[in-house]
Amino acid sequence: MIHFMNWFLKITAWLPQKLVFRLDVSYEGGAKPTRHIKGPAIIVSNHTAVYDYAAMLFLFWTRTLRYQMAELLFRKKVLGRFLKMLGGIRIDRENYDSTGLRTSERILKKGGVVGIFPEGRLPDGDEPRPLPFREGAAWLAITTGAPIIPVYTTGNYFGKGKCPMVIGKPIDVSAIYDGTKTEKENIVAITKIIRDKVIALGKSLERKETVKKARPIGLKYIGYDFVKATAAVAGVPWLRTKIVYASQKARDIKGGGLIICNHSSFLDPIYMMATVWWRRMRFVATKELFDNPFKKWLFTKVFRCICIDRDNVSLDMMREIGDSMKAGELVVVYPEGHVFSEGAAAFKSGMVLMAFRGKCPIIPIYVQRPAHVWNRLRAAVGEPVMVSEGRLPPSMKQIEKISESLARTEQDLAQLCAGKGQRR
Amino acid sequence: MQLSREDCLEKLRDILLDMDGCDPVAVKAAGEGTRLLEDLQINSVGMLYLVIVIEESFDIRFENVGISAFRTVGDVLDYIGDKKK
Repeated sequence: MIHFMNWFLKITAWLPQKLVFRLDVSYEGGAKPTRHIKGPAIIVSNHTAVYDYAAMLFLFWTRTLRYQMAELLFRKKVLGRFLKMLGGIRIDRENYDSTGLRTSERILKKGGVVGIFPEGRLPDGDEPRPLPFREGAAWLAITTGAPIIPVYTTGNYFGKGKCPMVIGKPIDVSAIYDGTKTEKENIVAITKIIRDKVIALGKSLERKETVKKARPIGLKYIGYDFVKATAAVAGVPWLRTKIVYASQKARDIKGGGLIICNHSSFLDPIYMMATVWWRRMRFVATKELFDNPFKKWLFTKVFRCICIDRDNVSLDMMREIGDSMKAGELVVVYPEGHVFSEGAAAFKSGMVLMAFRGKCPIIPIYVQRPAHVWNRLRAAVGEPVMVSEGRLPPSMKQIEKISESLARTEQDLAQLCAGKGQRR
Repeated sequence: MQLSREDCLEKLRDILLDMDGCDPVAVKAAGEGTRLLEDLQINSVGMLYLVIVIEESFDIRFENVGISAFRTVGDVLDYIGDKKK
């Protein structure tokens, strides 16, 4: 009966859900085996709306999902009966009744698939998401040996665009079970791993969205693209940029990011455009450059620079930098603050807060300006560094440490650029 | 719920302590007249930090204002109060 009801629902509601939910499914690491589940499995996801259950039914459409549901849903006569026919497992949160868990265990042992929203309820409007996870999923995985399939949903089911969802790789609990600890300690540890995984899937999705937002065509870029294209005619044969990457990961300059670079010449922005030539970028420039109306128009409207007043940093400027990165753009900042033709100055740590605002990584780049007009431009690109993805920025001491570490990275890149450093 | 000025000051002290960038004794003793730069040794990056955390904690937005507009703890409380109205 449960299988029949599930298939009946999936067939009759297939078209409406395609039009309404418009699920945009992606997979952790680009692999696809996790959608068509074979054997027992526990599906664990964040809980954003009452429609999550319906979305999951169509996400894993090849299997009959038996979802754990709150007792209050079964109190409504018609809805309760309908959910029961679909195989809903009643979880009595008020009385700590373990019947639901035992039912789930039995289903998994028979090779079925159980779905859980471990937050236990829908978060209220301003609550930080996801809520703490309950431990039932970890207990079930330990008891039955079934893998856990983590899923993250944005919950944008009736929104303007599609509803992005990401399916993670299955977590094999037996591989992470620590025999030296008690079962309770293992349950707590595994629950934390599951929650962290769901959060990480959400972050990966946000990152993917910023990559999508980096538009290849747009009216606001016309002036910038025209100048860049015409300058490239002379610039490419003149500079013949030689780029060295610190590692394979350093090649991944996608989506929003904050590029930091040494500042040894007023031509540095041109060198930067010749280095990361395939991407548009916005330079953070000092307000002295905007001192007459023509320059102001040129730098803000054509080159789309962001003006910074070093003596009185505007909070709107900080927001503009953050918003640009969130929209998938690259922002370039010279953290030394001034042009230093000899050696390097200490990095100003404001860049860490800029990257935090944009929820994007810092990409360190070292550019070695050509010693003579006929020399090639050389540049070294380091691995992206993520500052913090939490709600609040790291403490001031941590910010200082990150700045120092980035300054050291710049020195390593300088060595790499000179052909002395090590690539990983 | 509307926070009183005293509650805001207490919350601001907590933020300054978590910031881990200024003297905890000076922060605990901070009043409305305490100067951010001279007394609490908060530099420009510290001010940006403070603003980001205040925006998150008090659910407000700092708009059309630079960091030099805030010289004392009282200035920050005034801004929060105006935004919360």
